Amino acid sequence: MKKILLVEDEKLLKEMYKEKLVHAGFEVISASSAEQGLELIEKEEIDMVILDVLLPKENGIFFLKQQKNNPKISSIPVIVFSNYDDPDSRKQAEKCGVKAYLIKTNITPAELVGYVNKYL
Amino acid sequence: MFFYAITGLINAATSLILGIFVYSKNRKNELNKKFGLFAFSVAIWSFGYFFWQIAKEPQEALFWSRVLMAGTIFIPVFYFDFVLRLINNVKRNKNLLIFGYIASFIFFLLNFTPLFVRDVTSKLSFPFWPEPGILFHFFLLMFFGYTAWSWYLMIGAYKKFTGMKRKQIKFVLIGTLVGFIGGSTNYFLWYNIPILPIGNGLVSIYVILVTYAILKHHLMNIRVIATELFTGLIILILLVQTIIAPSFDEFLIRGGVFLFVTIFGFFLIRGTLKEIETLEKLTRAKSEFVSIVSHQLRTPLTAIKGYMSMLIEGSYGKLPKKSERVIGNVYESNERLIRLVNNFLNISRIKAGKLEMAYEKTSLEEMIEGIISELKLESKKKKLYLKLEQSKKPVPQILVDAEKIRQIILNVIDNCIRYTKQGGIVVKVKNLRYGVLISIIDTGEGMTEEEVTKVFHSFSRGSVGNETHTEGAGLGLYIARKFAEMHKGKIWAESKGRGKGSTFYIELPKKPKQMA
Repeated sequence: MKKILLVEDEKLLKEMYKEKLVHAGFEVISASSAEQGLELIEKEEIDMVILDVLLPKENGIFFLKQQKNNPKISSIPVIVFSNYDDPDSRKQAEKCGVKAYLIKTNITPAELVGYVNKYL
Repeated sequence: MFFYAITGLINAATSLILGIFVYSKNRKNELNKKFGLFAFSVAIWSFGYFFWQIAKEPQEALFWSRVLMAGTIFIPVFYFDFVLRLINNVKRNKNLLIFGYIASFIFFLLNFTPLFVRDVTSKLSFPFWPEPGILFHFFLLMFFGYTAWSWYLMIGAYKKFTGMKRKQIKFVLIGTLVGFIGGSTNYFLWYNIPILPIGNGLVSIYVILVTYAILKHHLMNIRVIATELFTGLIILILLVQTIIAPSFDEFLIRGGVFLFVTIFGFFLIRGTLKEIETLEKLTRAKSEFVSIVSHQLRTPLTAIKGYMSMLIEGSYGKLPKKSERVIGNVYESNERLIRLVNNFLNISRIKAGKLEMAYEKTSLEEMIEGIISELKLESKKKKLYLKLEQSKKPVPQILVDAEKIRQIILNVIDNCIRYTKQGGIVVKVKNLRYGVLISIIDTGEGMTEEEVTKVFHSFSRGSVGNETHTEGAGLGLYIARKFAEMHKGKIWAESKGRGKGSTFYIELPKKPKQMA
């Protein structure tokens, strides 16, 4: 079973996406902050990361930069999944080699599963 | 002849300054480049003009009138090139353009021979006026031919374009009319027609107007530039007057005025700059506010969308028939809200000039299929058909900012659905030589001739509040036009009138970066 790390601080959304992904046959572990996410990605065998941008302390871009600098985890594919549609963040995320930068409101949970399958 | 020398000097200075300014403002843009070249040739002509006017010896006058011609020779072709970029019509006139460049170059090579300027003789009050050589007549034909053709094309384009482009073209048209007529008063004496080159000073106005047209979307900056330019010009004239003062007393008086105006001008410009800075700050604060509000709004909208879609998909068991319709309606309303928030966000970015392009190879047909499935529920509810008609020839992938193109098509189809009561909407994609044409044809209410031009720019005139309450045509199509323009593309609508349906066209170039 493929394991997905969901970094999302909004409780309601985290619950919702987790439910859908589990339903689609993935194992999902979640983190509410970039720091916690980085901890988990090192500890667990993660196959893909779904990453929010606006997070409590450090943001998603921080997560990406840390991940990129760590050869052990740098090759894990990441989908940025946020409602923060800021050109700067988009550019930085693309520089870090993310698979996609998706806007939550434009996508249903089922479509998210489609993207996960596509990039896994 | 001092007056004419000064008009030459002023023309030279304005062209040089504005040419460099416009070019440095956006070095990669062909339009700015071509204007820079054009202004540079006007500057050479004008410098030649100045030195020819103040020449004391015939040999000197002859030399400078040939320098003058060296600049003049390139004016029509650079102008033509500039106009073609302005109206996005380079391809169709390519041969004429190449011919123009070759002819100009040949003229240039022969310019310093008597074939162009034979000699200088005294005419009217001018001690030295050039006598045309045989090639001069041919050049003059080319000059008027290319100018007239440029005008003709521009008038045609003026009727076709809407919004900012239309205004730009208007400025260039008026500017060139004034400038070329003014500048052309120079040609009479070449043919011994006793009319003085009284219009020469108008050439500056022309360059100023065209600069204004190019930079109009930076209206803030241009106001400062205009103030600076105007003040600078007055100061320059006062300085010249001071230097050439006939007596020491006069020198003191003129010098005093010069100093006073310089100080006054300094404060004037500083004041304008400050005012603009405050305005810019306000605009920034406003757009930041909208960004944050939009982001906050999106979170609950996402949750509604997610859960509703899962309900509809049956993740929580099959829905009873009755609730299915209700849930579908809630989902639809939520989708509308999401689109509204997206549009508000886009508007605030457009207004703040914060949008950037992210080009990627995209299959338009695939994208349209996606949009259609997204809007299917809505069209179904109104019992309308909504389909993509497969094109006979395959349409290649093109380089576009996919998210923005998606917004354009989504907004247009959304608009069509809203204004269609029966029948439906067909989308077609056609491969053109230099671009792709998307047509969206509805059987809806149709539009009057006035509405056809208005729908894309009503927003910019009306207040936001009014427009959003009229349910449609305000935000969506305005954004669609802005995004199309950012792709160097075009969007327009056609309708045979009320009750006869409408067709929206979106034309996108295949290589947006190379076109102006």
